Amino acid sequence: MEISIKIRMSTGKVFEIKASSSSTMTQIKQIIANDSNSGNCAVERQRLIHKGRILNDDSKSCSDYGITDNSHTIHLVKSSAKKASAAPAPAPVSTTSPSPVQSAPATNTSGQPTNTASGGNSNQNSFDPFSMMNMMGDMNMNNGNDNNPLFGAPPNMEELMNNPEQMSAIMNSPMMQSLTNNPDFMRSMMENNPQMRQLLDSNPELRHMLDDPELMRRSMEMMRDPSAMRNMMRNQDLALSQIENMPGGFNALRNMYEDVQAPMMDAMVNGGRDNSSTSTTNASTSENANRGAAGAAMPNPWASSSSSNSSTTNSNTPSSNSSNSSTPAANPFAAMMGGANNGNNNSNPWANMGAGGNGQMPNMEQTIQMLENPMISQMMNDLMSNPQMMQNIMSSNPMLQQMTQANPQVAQMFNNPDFMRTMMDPNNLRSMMQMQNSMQGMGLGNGIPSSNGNAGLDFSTMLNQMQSTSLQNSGGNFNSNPVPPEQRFRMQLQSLNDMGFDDNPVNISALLQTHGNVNRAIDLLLTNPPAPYQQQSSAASSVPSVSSNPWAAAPAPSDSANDESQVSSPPSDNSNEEDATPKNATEKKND
Amino acid sequence: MQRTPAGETVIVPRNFKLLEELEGSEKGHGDMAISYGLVDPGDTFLREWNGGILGPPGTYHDGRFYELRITCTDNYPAEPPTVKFISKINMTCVDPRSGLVQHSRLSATKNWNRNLGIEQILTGLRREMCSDANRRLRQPAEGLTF
Repeated sequence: MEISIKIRMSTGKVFEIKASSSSTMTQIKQIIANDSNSGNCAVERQRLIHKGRILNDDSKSCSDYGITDNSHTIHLVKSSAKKASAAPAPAPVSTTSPSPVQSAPATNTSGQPTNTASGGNSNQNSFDPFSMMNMMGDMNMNNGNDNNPLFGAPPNMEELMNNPEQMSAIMNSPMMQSLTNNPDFMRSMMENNPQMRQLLDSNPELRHMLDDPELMRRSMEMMRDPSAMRNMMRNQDLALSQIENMPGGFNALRNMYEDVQAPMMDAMVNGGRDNSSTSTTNASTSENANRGAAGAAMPNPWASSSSSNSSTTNSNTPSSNSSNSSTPAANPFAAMMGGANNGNNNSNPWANMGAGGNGQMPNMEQTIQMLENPMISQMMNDLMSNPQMMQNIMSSNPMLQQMTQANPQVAQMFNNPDFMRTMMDPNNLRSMMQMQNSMQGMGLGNGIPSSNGNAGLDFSTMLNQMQSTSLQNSGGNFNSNPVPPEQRFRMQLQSLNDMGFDDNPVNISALLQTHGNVNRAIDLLLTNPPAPYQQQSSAASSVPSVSSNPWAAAPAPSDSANDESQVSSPPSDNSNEEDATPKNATEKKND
Repeated sequence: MQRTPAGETVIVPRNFKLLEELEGSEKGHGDMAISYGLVDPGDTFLREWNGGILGPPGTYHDGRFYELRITCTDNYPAEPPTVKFISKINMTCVDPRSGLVQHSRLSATKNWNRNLGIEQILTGLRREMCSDANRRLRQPAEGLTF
C-alpha cells in the first residue's frame, strides 16, 4: 500500500515523501537522501524519529514501526558525520552502493583535513571564531531580555566571548542558521558593500571561499561548541607566535595584513561611517580582531583567503593553516551590521517588533534608520517573504510563542509576509513615530501620566477592539470606518443568543463595554445588565477610531496578560484612551 | 480544563485528552525537538507512551536523543504521568538510579494542571537540560540505559 509520509526536519521544514508501507527504513532513508528537500542528507547521517522512538533498525519496515497510513510525521534529525560513524550504525548491513549524493559530503570532509592536519588543529574548521563574534557583537541586539538568545544578546563583545553558552545559543537560533545556510543571501550581502565587492574581485579565492556553504556550515558548527572554540583560539595563538619566530615570517604577516585585512577594515569602517557612534562598534570590532591574533598588537593577519593560506603561508611555516580565512567571511556581516548600527545598538527591529525590548522613542528612530539601509531592508525582505523562517523565529522565541498562542490572529498576522513587509516599511514606521510623538504631547497635556503601565492598559483596550474589528473584516484589512456594533459583534451576539440572552440591544452594549469578550459580557449581563445600546452615541464613544496603520495591530500580541486586566477596566475615559492608543501601539513594542 | 464560550469550565475526560495528544504526536505538531507516541498502537487505554527528547545544542546533550517511557495513570490528567528516562542521563530532576523524573523537581510537573500534557513535560525536561544546574553536569556515555 502506498503511503505518503511527512518528513519534518530540524529546521522546521516539512516535505512529503511517497513510500510503501512495506518499505524498510533503508529504503525510506534512501528516498529522503534523494529528495532535494532534505538537502540530500546522506543516509548515514539521517536519524529518523517517530513517536518518540528512533527508527534505527534499518531492516524494519514502516508497518513494523506502525507507520501504516497517511499523515504520519517522521522527524528527521541530521547527526554530525563524525557521530554517525562512531555510532553502532546498523546501516552498513543493508546499505546499497552509495549514491553520488551520499558521497559528496564525505569527500568534502576529507578534503578539509589537509588544511587542519598540517596546522595541528583538531577542529575541522577554517573559520575564525572572533570574526563571527565581531559580527554578533555588532548586531549587538537588545539588552532587555537576557533569556532570549536571539533577541537579547549581551551588550558587548567581551561579555559574549566570555559566555560561550550564549554564543552558541545565538548561533543555534534558527534565524542565524537559516541566514548562514543561505549562500545566496551571504553573497548578496557581500555584493552590497562596494568595498567588499572590490576586495572580492581582486581576490577571487576569497570569493570562492565565501561561496562554499559547506565551509560556512562547518564554521557555524564549530561556533556552537564552546570547547572547540577555545581550542581553536589556543591553536591560533600558537601558530602566530611560531610564525613570528620564523625568519621572514613577520613580513609575510604584515604583507598579508596590508593586502587583505586593511582594505577589509576600510570597508567596514566606511560601511558604518554615517552613524555617529558606530566608531565605537568598529573600534571594538578591530579590537577583537586583534585579540584574535593572540593578543598581539598586530591585527589578525589570518584574514587572508584560504587559498592564499595554502600558497603563501604554507611556504613560510608549517603551522599556518590552523587558522585561516575567517575574518573576511565574517566582516561583511560586521560591515552590514556596522552600517545598520546606531547609537547604542538598541535598534534591533525584532526587539521592537516582538514584545521584548526596552527601547524608548529614540530607538524607534534608530530602527527606522536601520530599516532604511538597503542591505537591511533586503535582509528583512528575505526574512519576510519566507514564512518558514518567520515560523522558526517565532518558535525559537518563547515570548513570541506565548504571544502567538494566546492570539491566533497574531500568529496569522506574522505569517502573512505582506503584512510584515508593510509593518517594516520605514515610511510607516516614521509616521507611526510622529504619531507617537504627538500623542505623547497630548497625553501629557491631558494630565495623563504617560507611564508604561497606563499606556499598556489603554493600549490593550484598543487592541481588543481592534481584534474584534478585524475579525469581522474578513480580509484582515484594518480599515478605519467603524462598523456598527451589531455587525462587528455578530458572532458574539450569536453565541449570546444561543445561550439565551436574547435582548440584543442590551447584549450589544454589554459587548461594547467588554470589547467583545463574550465571557465578560455574560458576567456583566448577569450581575449588572447595562442599558440597552443606542445607535450613535455608544458606538462613537467606545470604539476609538481604529488606526489604519498596520503597526497598530502588530504589537497586539504583546501582552496577553495585560489583555485580561484591560478588559475589565471600564472604558470610562474614552477620549483619553483614544489619544493614548496609537502611542501605546509603538510603546508596547518596546517594553 | 477548558472554558466554553459561555465561561463554564469543562473537564476533558482522560481518554479524550490523550487521544488529542496522540493525534498531535502523529501529525508532528508542536515542538521539533521532542517526539512521543504510544508504545503499542493497540493500547486502548493509552497508558504507555514512548517519549523522545533531542538534546539541546550547546550543552552536553547536543546531538543526543533521549528515550523515555511515560505512563499515564488512570488519574491522568488530574495528576501528571510517571516519566522515566530509558537512556541514561544525569539531571537534577532525575533519580540517578531508576531514571524516574521526580515530579517535585521539574517545574512542569510541580505546577501541574489539567491543561498540560505529555508534550509540555517533554519540552519542560528539555528546557531543564539547558538550565544552569544541569547544563554543566557530566553525562554518561551515549547509548547507556537505566
